[in-house]
Amino acid sequence: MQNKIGLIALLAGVSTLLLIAISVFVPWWRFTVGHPTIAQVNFSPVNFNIALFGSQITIPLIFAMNLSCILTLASGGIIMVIYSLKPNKPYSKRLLGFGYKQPLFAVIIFVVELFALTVVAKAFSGFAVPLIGSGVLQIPSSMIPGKVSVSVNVLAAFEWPFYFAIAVAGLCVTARVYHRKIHQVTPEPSVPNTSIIN
Amino acid sequence: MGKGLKAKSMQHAVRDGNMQVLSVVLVLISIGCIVGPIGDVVLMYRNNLPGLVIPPQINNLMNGNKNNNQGNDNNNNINNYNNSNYNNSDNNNNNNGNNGFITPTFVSSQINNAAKTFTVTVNVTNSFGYDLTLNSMNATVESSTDNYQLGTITLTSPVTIIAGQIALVTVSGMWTQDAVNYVQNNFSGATSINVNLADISIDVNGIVVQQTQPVNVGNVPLT
Repeated sequence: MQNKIGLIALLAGVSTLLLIAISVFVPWWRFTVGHPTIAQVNFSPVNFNIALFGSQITIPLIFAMNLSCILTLASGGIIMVIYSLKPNKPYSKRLLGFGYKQPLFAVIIFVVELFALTVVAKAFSGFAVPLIGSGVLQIPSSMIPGKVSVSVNVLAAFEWPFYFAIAVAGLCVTARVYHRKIHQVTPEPSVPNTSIIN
Repeated sequence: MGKGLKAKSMQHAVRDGNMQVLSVVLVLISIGCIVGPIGDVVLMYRNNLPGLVIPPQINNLMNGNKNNNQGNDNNNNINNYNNSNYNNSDNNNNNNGNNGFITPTFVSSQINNAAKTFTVTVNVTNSFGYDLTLNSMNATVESSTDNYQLGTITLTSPVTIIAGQIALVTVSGMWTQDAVNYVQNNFSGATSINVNLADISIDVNGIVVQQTQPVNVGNVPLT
């Protein structure tokens, strides 16, 4: 039973580290403008970049935030692995408490940021950016001189690492729940009386 | 028994102390992971804080510096190409790079009176520095005097124009018998007719530009 707890946490920790490696190269959400593509936004908590007419645009502050997220997730993953090796130590619960939250927070923050991004885009520029699927983005007439209308074909999609991230977060929560469940059944081993007497 | 309790409480105290150390370490890891990279970047850009959120590419655009060195090189290449290949053509070709992103130059036209169709081929120079695909182009040809619809024009097939290069774009059009009757009734003896292009729709790389206001294209010869 104790091995099972360790196994889930080990899987969660390794998956977290794997998620970081994947997310650097494959975004969680991709927004494509034009056909063929003229601009592309790749968004994940560990990598946010904009490609406009073939040139990459990197915003230094967002790059730093991505780096923070990589380090936070990596620390969470490593600590989950350490926990999985020693799940019954007195300090294990604290390790688990730190480790299991990181992928969960990453997913929650990502979803909130994505929604905020679309709301802000709508509020400031009038662009109704779709979260999923293809659409036609109408440039507001106030931004274009003369009797000209400009529309752009856009495509937005969640990529498979996003679903993998949800699975990893689920795995981490499962490890946490399992830890609680097991420790309710088998309380933490107390210090043997013999050693105290001696 | 009292000694045992004392030892037990000491062990608990040590354990609690270790727990506190662990908690502090975990908190420090959390703070370090967040503050470290962000703090580093802020320090790097301390003399140029707007640069934290505005990358150089956007900054150049905001300052009106649209053409980077690469773009200028492309323009020069295009001009050189034009100079070497179109010496016999008019001088407009030499300024292609400066007129806009896409500059059409008339090449040839064909008219089929029996089928009431025509094709016009133009040379298009892409001085944008990025591959562009002309997916579609549609327009209605109208008489400029009373906006009578004479015919339509469409792009024959999608054309990809490589950055800094020239491509041939063929546009086909057709006119109707009604248009023939209209011209015969209203412009008998005229050698040309002034026309507008209306409902223009151009799709370049999925960007669809539609102009509802008619654009005058001048006189079109009738013979």
